[in-house]
Amino acid sequence: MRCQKVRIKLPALLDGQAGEKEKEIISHHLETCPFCREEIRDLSSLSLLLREEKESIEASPYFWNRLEQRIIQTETNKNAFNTLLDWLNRTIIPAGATAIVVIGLLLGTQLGGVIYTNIAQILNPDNASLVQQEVNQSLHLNTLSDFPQESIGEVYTGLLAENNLPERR
Amino acid sequence: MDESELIHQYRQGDRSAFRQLVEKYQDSVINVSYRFLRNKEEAEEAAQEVFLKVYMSANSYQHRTKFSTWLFKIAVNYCLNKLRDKNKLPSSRLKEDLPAPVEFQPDRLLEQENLNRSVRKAIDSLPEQQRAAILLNQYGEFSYQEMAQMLDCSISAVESRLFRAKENLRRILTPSIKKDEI
Repeated sequence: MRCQKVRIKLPALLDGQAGEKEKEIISHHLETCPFCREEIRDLSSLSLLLREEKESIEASPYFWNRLEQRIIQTETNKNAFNTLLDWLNRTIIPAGATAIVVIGLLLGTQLGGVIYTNIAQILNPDNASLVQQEVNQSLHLNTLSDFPQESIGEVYTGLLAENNLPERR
Repeated sequence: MDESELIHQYRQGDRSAFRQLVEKYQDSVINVSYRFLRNKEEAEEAAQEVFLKVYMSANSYQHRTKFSTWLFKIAVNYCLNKLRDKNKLPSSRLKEDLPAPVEFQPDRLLEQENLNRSVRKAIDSLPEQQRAAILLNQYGEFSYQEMAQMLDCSISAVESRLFRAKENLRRILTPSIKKDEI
């Protein structure tokens, strides 16, 4: 094993975290490598130094009481929030959904009424001029009126009037 | 009641079971937090926040992970976030940015407190990941596998972070190590 690979494993060896096989390989390497032996000596001194800097503190006597108060407070806040969410779920959301359906129905009825009125007017036999007007508008036939007598525009209008108009009852 | 039974009861919302878990681990959590925050009041406040979070997220605890590992993972994350918020800790630092080796006065060499202060200062100067690894290692009660779970990394990453951290510390503290050996 190369020195660099061994050195990365040295802290694990010192902490007793290296596996049996790793221990064997590292020990074998250390026997033959003075540089890595020096490295493990230094790391060992450092570990001692780090272990000495280990000030320990204890929890204050009222640690649990303070924590319990916070738990109760948090649970109260959470319950208030959940109540608000429940209320929203039970009232605002159904009310909103109903309003959307009602608005949709009203809009649909309005649109449907306009279309129905137009169709009814077109299908009425008394409204022949209205039908002609609708056709002229939809095909932009008014633009052909500027052409001279018996020109292609007049022929086209005549053909449409004779053959393509809806059958009148 | 053994710990697994306590954990089961706590997950059902039993506050007295949770109290027993708190009493078992409160000093350890405070001490781990203290290593990161270097302030007793802040460490206790951190432990309060950690246990509150543990209580409120009982449902997210999975039995596959050891309870203590999960608890300390929350504590480590809380402390690292706290340090980031306070801008005490740079998220990444190059080796070149580390402080120069500490020189000790001969007459102060035997003063343990001064030495400890130098060690703390050297640890505080490490990049975040190395610092977290060395602090958990220094606490001395966690296996590399537990540290890997707490730090969300592999065991080989823990080994590598510890190696780099110790290399940096050795470089900073070399004069004290050498003189200590004399």
